Order: sequence, then structure tokens, then C-alpha cells
Amino acid sequence: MKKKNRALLVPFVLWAAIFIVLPLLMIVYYGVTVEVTPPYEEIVQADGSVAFALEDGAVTAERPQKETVFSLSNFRRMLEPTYLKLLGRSLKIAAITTGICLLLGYPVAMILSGRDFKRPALWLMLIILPMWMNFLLRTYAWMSILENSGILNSWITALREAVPALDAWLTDRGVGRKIIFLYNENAVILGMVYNYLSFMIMPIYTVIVKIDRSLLEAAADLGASPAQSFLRVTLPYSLPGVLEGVTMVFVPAVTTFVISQLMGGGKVPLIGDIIQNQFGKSSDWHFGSTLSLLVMVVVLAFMGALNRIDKEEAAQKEVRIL
Amino acid sequence: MKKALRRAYIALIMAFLYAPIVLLILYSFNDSKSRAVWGGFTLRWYQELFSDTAILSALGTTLTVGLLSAVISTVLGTAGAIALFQLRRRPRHALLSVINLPMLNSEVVTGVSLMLLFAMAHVQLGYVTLLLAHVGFGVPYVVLSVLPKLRQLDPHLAEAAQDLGATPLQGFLRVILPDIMPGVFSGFLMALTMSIDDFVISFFTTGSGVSNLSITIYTMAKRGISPRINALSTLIFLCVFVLLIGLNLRDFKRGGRKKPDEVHIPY
Repeated sequence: MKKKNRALLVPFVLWAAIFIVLPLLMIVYYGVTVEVTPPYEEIVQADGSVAFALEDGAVTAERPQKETVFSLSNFRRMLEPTYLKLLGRSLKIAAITTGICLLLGYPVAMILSGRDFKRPALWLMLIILPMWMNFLLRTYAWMSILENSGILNSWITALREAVPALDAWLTDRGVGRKIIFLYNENAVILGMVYNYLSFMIMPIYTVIVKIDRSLLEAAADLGASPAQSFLRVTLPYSLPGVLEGVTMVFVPAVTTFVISQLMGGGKVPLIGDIIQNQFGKSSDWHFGSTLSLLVMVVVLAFMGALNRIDKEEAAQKEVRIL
Repeated sequence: MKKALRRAYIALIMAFLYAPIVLLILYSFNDSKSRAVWGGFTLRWYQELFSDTAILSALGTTLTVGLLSAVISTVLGTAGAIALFQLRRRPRHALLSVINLPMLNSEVVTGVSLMLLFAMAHVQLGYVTLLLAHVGFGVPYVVLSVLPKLRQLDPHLAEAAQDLGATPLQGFLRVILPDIMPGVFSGFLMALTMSIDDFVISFFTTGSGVSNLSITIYTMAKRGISPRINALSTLIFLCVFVLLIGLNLRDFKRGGRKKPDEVHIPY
């Protein structure tokens, strides 16, 4: 039996090493190196051939090639205001998105876990169903509604033609014939909320549905108002779900580059866009890797912080029960 | 009254979630290229869709990469889960946290890191790298859905099978596998859906003209709106709808209150 274990374990460990550990090491390697061509001078030697003198005095017959050297210069570049602003904007948009998802999603999870609906599983499935469609298609759906010659604008135009008074009123207010909905931060946030809302609802629902109802009854028996029992029972007990939901929304939101490109039309670049650029058009893999390291650290720090809140709250809860 | 309010709220959220999809479906039958006018009912976009070779080959790539990577991930992941399960505590936890890394990392980072890996190995980006990358992120899902089933397994079963003269392989196929099958199956489904839905990692790990559906939609959407995508979305939505309803139908008929983890919705 022991030998067979090894036979199963070896390919698995190999796979993990090649496809998980090695790629991450590659990012670290690229992140802390740059490609440089060593400075050199061309000299024409006595026999007419060209040679190359390096700074340290060595002379070679071959033109010096680009070489990869250890350097932290990309970290300095990363801290330039341009990139810090981008990171700031990514964090801001992700935070707003997460906040909106929480505000919209928490009541949904609460209502579905209550007794209003006979078949909560069905409703839950209906909420998840759009998530099964490719998220590019979901984003595209909003694009086709909101773009300048899109569905919403064509409806507004039709309405204005039908109701001249409204048209005059809107024109007075300086509203153009075509209202620009897309290509700004709000459009990007809308796209993210639409795409990630279910990620918030599911984990919260999973936790709320498991809350012991006798706790709520006890709270009511002891004279707690619905608001009080929500604040003292439901909310603290649903915290793990909230934290998971926050992670599941915040992490993709802070690193996406698709939604910002489609809904923002390139006008609202986020940190993910810059990383994508470094591996595409601008093709500076080293700087791209440095930025990836930054994103990794931000994400890990965020999750670490949430984890801490969770642990502290769990400890408090025990005290509360005692 | 309060109940009515709560129902209205759910209705609002549903409207928010479904309005774009419903509009998309409606306009996929619109006989006019612009969305400003309703030009009558047509199936033209569906015809164009089915004669669009780029979309069709992308669909082929998505499906074959999805199935192949899901099968490979399932085999690798199940074997890995069994190997992990038999390890002692420390090495098991160490390996488990390694497996968890891609799930903690953002997709961009995973995609970029795999791209660097293939570049280092001088493998040309294309179908094979796409498949390898999908296996790469599929395996952890399988491992994490098989492991709990292994924990529930009666440890004496395998021993009993061996005492009764079964070879280890027989013991695995006849005793262990049937018991962990639900976990294996849901891991397979997870890997499959993750692969079919993936855009970011595919974007970084494919090349030389190989693109899956997500990448094709991305390039089309960046160029502008095309009614063909509406038609495609409609078809995909219908497939998903039928599939999910089918998977859950029996449970809804029972009408019982179910925990979400019993509902077949990998989210």
C-alpha cells in the first residue's frame, strides 16, 4: 500500500510544482529583474574590423546583447504617481462595487432565508442563473443597452418625440440628443455590480439560513425589537458569509481588465488593464510582473485583514453566548 | 404589507438581473442592425451566426478544451486527493495550501504566471498551452470536492476489500470510487464550467490564432455591437436554463427547503 501512495503522490506533486509554484516563482524572477544592454563603445581596430569596448575595459568582437540583471528599478517605477493613482482608482472602484453589492445583496439573502417564499431554492437558482452565462456576454448586454445608439437612448429619443414637453424640458436642461451613459467610472461600477452581485448573495444566504431560529426567538422573548435582534443576532452570525462575499466581489473587482475596457471604453483604466498592456502591446514583461506582485500583495493583505476580523468576531461571539 | 415590500424587493433585483438578458434575447430577433428601430421579426442573425466560421471554430475550441481539461483534471485531481488524504497531517496541509494558491490569486496573476512559464519552456502559445492552463486551474477544484468525500469514507472498507482478496486497483474501483463518485462528479462539473466560462487565463495562454468563445466575444465586443452576439447569447442562455432546470427539477417539485449546497449550482 505504501508504495502505491508514492506512485499517486509523485505526479501530483510534480504537477503542483510545475503549474502552481514555478509560475509564481517566474513572476517573482521577472519582477525583480530588468533587461539591459551594457553600455559599450564601438571601436575600429587597426585591421579595420569593428570591436566593442565595455565600460570595464574588456574588448569583444561581438556586439554586446541584452542581458537580464537583478534590479529593483521597476519597483521604483511602480511607485510613480501614475501607477499609484491607477491602483488607488482600482481600489476605490472595487470598494464602491463591494459596498453596493453588500447593500443590495444582504437583504436578498435575508428575505430568501425567511418564510416569504415557498421555494427559496428555486429563487436562489434564478439569481445564480445569469452567472452561468459568460460574463463577457453579460457585460455586452449592458453595453448594447447603454451605448450612444443603444436601446436606452433610442427609447429616450422615441419618448421625447412622443412628448414634446419633455423634450423641451430636457433640452432646456442642456441634455443632448444622445446621453452618454458608457465610458465613465459609473458605467464600470454598474458592470461590476451586475457581474458580481450573486457572489455576494450566495455566501451570505448559506450562512443566514443556518442561523439557529431559536436564537432569534429567544431574543424576541427577551424583549428585543426586530432591529435589535437583527443587530445583535443575525448580523454577527452572518459575518462569516459577509466576509466571504466581500472577498468574492472585491478580489475580481480590483483586478479585472475586461469590464473596465468594455464598459469604460479604455477611459477608465484599472491596474488590471496596465498589467494586460505590459504583456501585450507595450510588452514589458518585467514591469508587468512587478505590477502582478503588487496586485498579489494587495489581495493577500486584504484577505489577511478579513481573516483577522473573522477570528476576532468569532472569539467575541463565544463570549456573547456565555 | 411588509411581506409585499419584501417580495417587491426581490422582484426588483430579478428585474435588474434579467432585464439586460431579456432585451438581448428580444433584439436577437430584430430585423435591423441598429437597436434604435424594431424592424420586425427575423432569424437572420442566427443564420449568420451559424455561417460564421470564426465563432463556430471558437465554439469547438471551447467545448473540446472544456471536456478534455475537465477529464484530465478529474483524473489528476482524484488521484491527487487520494494521495493527499493518505499523507500525514503536516505535509498534507502544506500541499493543500499550495493547491489553494491559484484560488487565492487573482485570475490575471495566474494567467500571466502561466504565460511566463510557457515562455520559459519555449512552448509556443496555442491549443496545447490553453489546454494545459485549463488543467492547471481545474485540478484544485476537483481535489477540493473529492477530499471531503474521502473523509466521510469508512477507513475499514478498503482494508476489508483487501482482506477479501481484492487487488488495490479492484479495491479502488469497486469500493472507494463508488463512494466518492458524487465528489468526483461535482469536481468534474466545476472544472468543466470553469473552463467553459474562463476568459482571463485563456487570454494570456493562447496564441497563434487559437481562440475560444470568450476570446472571440471579447474581440467582437471591443469592435462594437453585433446582433450575431445577441443570437449567440440567446442560445447559450437557453442551454444554461434548460440544463439547470433539468438538474434541479426533482428538487423543486418536492418543494422542500434546501440548503444551497444541496442545490446543483456551482457558483
